[in-house]
Amino acid sequence: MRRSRSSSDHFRQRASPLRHPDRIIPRRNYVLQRMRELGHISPEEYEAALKETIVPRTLPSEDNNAPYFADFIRKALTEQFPDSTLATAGLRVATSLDLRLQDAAYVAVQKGLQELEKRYPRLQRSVPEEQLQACLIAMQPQTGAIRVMIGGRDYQTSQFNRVTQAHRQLGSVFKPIVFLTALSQEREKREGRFLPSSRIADTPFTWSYKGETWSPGNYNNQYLGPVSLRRALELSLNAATARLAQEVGLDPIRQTAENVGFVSPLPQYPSMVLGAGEVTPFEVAVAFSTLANNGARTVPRPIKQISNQSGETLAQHGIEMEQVIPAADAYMVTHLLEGVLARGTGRAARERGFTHPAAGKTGTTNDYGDAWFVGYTPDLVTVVWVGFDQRQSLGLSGAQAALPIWTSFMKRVTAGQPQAEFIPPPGVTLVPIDPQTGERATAQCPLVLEEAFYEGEEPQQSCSRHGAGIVPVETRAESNNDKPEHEERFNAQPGAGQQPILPRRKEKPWWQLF
Amino acid sequence: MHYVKSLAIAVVVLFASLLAISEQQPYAQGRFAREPGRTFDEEDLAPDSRSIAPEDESANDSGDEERPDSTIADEEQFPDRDSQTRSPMPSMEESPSHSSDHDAASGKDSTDESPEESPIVTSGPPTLPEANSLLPQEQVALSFVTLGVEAMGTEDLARARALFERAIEIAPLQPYSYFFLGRLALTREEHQKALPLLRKAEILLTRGDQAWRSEAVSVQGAVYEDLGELPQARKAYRKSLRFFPQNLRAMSALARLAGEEPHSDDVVPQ
Repeated sequence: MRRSRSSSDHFRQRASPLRHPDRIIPRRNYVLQRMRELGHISPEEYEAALKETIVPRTLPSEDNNAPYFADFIRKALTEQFPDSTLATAGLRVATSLDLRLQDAAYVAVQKGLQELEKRYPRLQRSVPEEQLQACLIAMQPQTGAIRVMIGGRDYQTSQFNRVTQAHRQLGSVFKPIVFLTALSQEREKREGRFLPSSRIADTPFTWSYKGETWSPGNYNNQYLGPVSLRRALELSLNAATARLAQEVGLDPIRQTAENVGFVSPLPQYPSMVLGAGEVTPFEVAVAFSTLANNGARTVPRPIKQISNQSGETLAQHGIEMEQVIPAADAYMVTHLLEGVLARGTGRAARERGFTHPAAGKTGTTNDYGDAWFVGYTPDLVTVVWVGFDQRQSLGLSGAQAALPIWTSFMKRVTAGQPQAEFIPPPGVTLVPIDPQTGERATAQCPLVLEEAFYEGEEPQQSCSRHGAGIVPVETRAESNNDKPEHEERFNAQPGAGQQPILPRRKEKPWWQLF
Repeated sequence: MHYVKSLAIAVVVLFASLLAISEQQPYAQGRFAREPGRTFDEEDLAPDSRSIAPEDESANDSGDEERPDSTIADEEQFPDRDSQTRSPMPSMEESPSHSSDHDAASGKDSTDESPEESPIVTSGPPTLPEANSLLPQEQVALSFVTLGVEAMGTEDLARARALFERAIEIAPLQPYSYFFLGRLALTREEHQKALPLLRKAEILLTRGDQAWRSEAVSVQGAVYEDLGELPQARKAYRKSLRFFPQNLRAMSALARLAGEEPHSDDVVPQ
């Protein structure tokens, strides 16, 4: 399926009348000939068609700030209205695009690609059609509004919209879906097994599936032994993730992926859990919007309203929201993904000066053919993909290639904006723990991590390594539904969750202690 | 413990009996979304939260000091309440969330109602925050919410929906637009649409006004009640009271549900 779509894309490129007007005439004639042979057209129609000249469609001018988005809207309109209406009604279409953000994204993509080519000259290509490409989509998770759509590097060179048309392997961007499934399953079973602080072995292992075996390896073949789920996701550990997925099961993971918004069929084999499936960046944006929107999936809403020349409203697209996963589960994964930016593979975003509360995940495919970064603040989800249309290897990770573009864009659009936090939903409690033991932190613990727990599953024991028996640090309860004094707690501790790591003494970072 | 439980049940029953008298309580009647041709009135548009009457005037005054931003419910809204027991707060007209002509729309005549002696006073429904305390884009969003509430008052539901959605686009982390959009969905009997919106409002109010948060949960209870999912409705109402124990609407709903189908857990947590 993937292969045929890919072949089709390549054919479109080869047969483009814009690039290869000499090739299109023989192809046109061949198709007409076959149509005549099959009886679809008469010989007269065939002769008449042969005499017609091919006039390439005029591309939107370079002044158009959002040519890919315009194409996207045009396609949506053709599916909704007959050609006669589109030609004569003089439709006025109110879209969700934000031109300020669109301009910022364009600059970020252009500069980002130029910097990559400058820093890694091997990425440069002389043929414009083969140049390094990138795409970016930004979506408001609460409304489904598509704020930005950059479908490629240069519309005049390639009209192929990589946001909606390019099916690419996800790589580690898919891992949060595995963790989401594990945490939500655990929530249903209440067995107290998989929590962010739960341990899982990050060691080489082999997954036997339907008579075949699969041995996922870590980056640089380094294995960390027993790690918490949090650390496994923050550092994007393949072996630990695959082991977790084996426990959870492929079908539930696939089901979760569908629930959050992936529509492309995912492979039926284990490597799916490490992102072997091919999806569009658009799907990724929808899926992570569901996480950002407390588990409620919104229908993408590029068009808000369509009216005719006289102002009569022909169609109105309101906010469509459906709760597809529990808000608590969505928050747990978001909280883990905040750690990716704070301490994990996405920490370069912080090093580059992006300070707003955000969650994110890097993604790199096996052959370095695709570099992803998806990250979100509470009100904006942004997906960046970098790669070659010809699927050549970049030799760069998502953190190296896509993250700088994401950071540049997000810094621009959040500059001067208030810093909004992710708010834990009811049923989730933030508890300071000792990251080494996973137990409640005490005043003696050198490092404290504020971890999210489902209510009732918080660790009860004080840290046994740093002063068991000492009164634990007060829980930062966010929802604490069973306690009427919640209001005072909220007021007393604003901004909880902003700085999950609270160093007490200057020691090695906790993630280096294992 | 037993004494407290008994006292709580007594309080709930008392409230329920008082509310049964009043025909102006859409929540007390339940399933308000199913009433054909029902118009919006002030109470629909402004989440209700009333406090238990203090024993004396001084206590009443102190209650006002605790909630300086509260506004008093007007006589039309709570006609069964003794005007002598109201707290001296700004009138509803001052609140941007309430249109002053709503009663004309709802067809109510407040003068027909005879006030009764009641141990309950109204501390007023939670009002929308003062615009000058908000960020510019939140101010704009709030103005859209206000216009949406007015549109609801005139039964222009399509316009109200568009205004609330516009408010969400402008300030997606402001809870009030979700709340009213959820209310609107409930009115249209779009229960599955209402729930995520109301939950979203509840989450966004976690660190905000607990009376509003309580109201968002209380309306979730109304959704469940409409759907016939009474255990879920009870759970929501009880939760609502945890956030704001003075939410009389949740109390009355709980009492009503307890009457319909006795449940050992239908006790207001103290």
